[in-house]
Amino acid sequence: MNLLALSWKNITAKPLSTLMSLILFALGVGMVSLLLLLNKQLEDKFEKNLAKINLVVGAKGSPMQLILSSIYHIDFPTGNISLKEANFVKKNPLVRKTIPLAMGDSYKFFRIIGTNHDYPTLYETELSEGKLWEKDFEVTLGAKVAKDLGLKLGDQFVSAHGFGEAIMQHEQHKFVVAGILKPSKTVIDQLILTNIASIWKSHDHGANDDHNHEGHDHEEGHDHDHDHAHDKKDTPQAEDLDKEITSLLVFFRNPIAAIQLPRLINDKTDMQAAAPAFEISRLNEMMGVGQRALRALALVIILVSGFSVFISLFNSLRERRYELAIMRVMGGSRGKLFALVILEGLIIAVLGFVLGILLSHGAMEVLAYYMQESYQYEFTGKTFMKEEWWLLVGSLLVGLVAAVLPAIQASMTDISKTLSGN
Amino acid sequence: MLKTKDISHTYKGQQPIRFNDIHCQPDTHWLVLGNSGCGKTTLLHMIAGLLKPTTGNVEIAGTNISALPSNQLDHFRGQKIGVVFQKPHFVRSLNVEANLMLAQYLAGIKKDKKRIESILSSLNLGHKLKSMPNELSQGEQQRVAIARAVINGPKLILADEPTSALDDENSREVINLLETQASAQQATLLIVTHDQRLKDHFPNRIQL
Repeated sequence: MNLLALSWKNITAKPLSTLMSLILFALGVGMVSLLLLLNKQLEDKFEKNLAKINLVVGAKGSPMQLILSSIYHIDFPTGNISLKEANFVKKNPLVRKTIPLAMGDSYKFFRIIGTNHDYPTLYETELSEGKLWEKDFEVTLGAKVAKDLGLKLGDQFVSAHGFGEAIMQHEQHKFVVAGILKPSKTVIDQLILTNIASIWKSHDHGANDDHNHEGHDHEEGHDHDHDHAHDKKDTPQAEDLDKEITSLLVFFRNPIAAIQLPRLINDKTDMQAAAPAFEISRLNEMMGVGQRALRALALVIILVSGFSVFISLFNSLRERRYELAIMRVMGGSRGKLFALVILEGLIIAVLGFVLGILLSHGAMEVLAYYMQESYQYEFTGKTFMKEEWWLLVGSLLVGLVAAVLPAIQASMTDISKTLSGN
Repeated sequence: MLKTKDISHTYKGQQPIRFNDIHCQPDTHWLVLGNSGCGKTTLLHMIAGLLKPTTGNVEIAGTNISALPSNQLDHFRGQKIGVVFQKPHFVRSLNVEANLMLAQYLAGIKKDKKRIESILSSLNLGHKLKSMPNELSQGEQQRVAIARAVINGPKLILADEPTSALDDENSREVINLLETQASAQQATLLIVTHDQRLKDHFPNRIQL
């Protein structure tokens, strides 16, 4: 028998009020921790996938949509731009490097991206087997694509138009798996990479092909070049200048470009330039309002739970005044009674914290499952953050503060008065 | 063993209550008789160190407990004084055994399950080891309270109206047990009561 065992017995002797405090505590802690988890993982994804891209150039429209579709591959593209105009950007002396992207097709919800070998290099990915694409219709798969679809080297598949359900397939052309990348924890894990010419050709059904694209989402302009004949080139060449791509990832040669280039592109061309860093901070700001509101709500719940601990301790003291007095008679000092009540508050805080953490990480696992389905992004609840230690410290503080007044009252119990008052 | 000198207590806004000096030898049994309201409980609380005398001092086994600081007094009480109250109170979330263990823990004495078992069986409560206090009858509760008062081998056992809530039979049994336990440890026993049934039982009487 010691104080810890006694406070545990006291807590479990009144399960209902303990449960009430615990549930409130767990809800508050769980909400804060879930917000932290979500925020952290989203920020990590955004940060990692940014990969030092300075600017994205694409068709006019929402700049955020352009960023989301071209860097994070979650929204639909804004449209297409002509190669001619893209080359105008590429040749600008302020530009160090550009990476072209052509999209519009998918295979079983995974996007097929036409690009060059600079793109996997950008994300520092390595090959797990096979090679990078070389010939038309050769593809290299992101690690998650290969794993989820069970595709192996040499497997063939037919792409679908658009990013959703396979409403219409490009059956004339079969893609062949030439290589598979190692997991990189970046967006490239869920992409199917090929050359740009393959994207063009898969849309090249001949002039008589009168399929119509109404009723499913895809950007305009992809299928406007059906009669064009082209040679097998890995990157767009001069004779492809009336061809189109979706967007261009731009890397600056020096910081002045950040000021001059966007204005030049937005004013002088039919294209728009969007700065990822700016758009992402705008996105964070917009989500921030909701997040702050949720966080405030969670903190209120934690405070209420602290208050409920306080009330339940205070009530129990009234019922327990005789036994507290008796404990003094048996030799228990004021300090021991004080510690006893503080311990009861702290035990509830620790239990509530543990319950809350389990709750949030469990919820995160469930969320991860659904978010993966809709965003193709990987999240996990099986990760712990150092912020959660702070959450523990905060919980202990709340338990301590809630218990201090009852503890003082317990230690001040007037033994003689209590025991002679029957 | 027990000496009081000029002790009195003044409750707020009331006349002081003064008590004659008491002097009890070790291994003697005393009855303090008095009507309700004459300060019996006040006297007992002052002797037990639960209430500070306004004047005078209480000396137990050579220690002036009226001069001890709060912490040391609690410690001293836990080890040297056992108290039985009119109405037994227990820690309700603990069973009989754990309540007795708590008495050992709070007094700073090593946990001793054997001692608990032997005390309980000497009080005919061996089978109630794992019972919760509120499952016991009044008489049984009072006997557990006696067990708790003597568990740490105190030098002074105080009882405040231990029999007033009990019938004749239980009353006689409780007094017998108190006397047996006190004799077994050569402790001084002081019973404060208005219960006239006990009068003839004790040769040493103090009338308030």
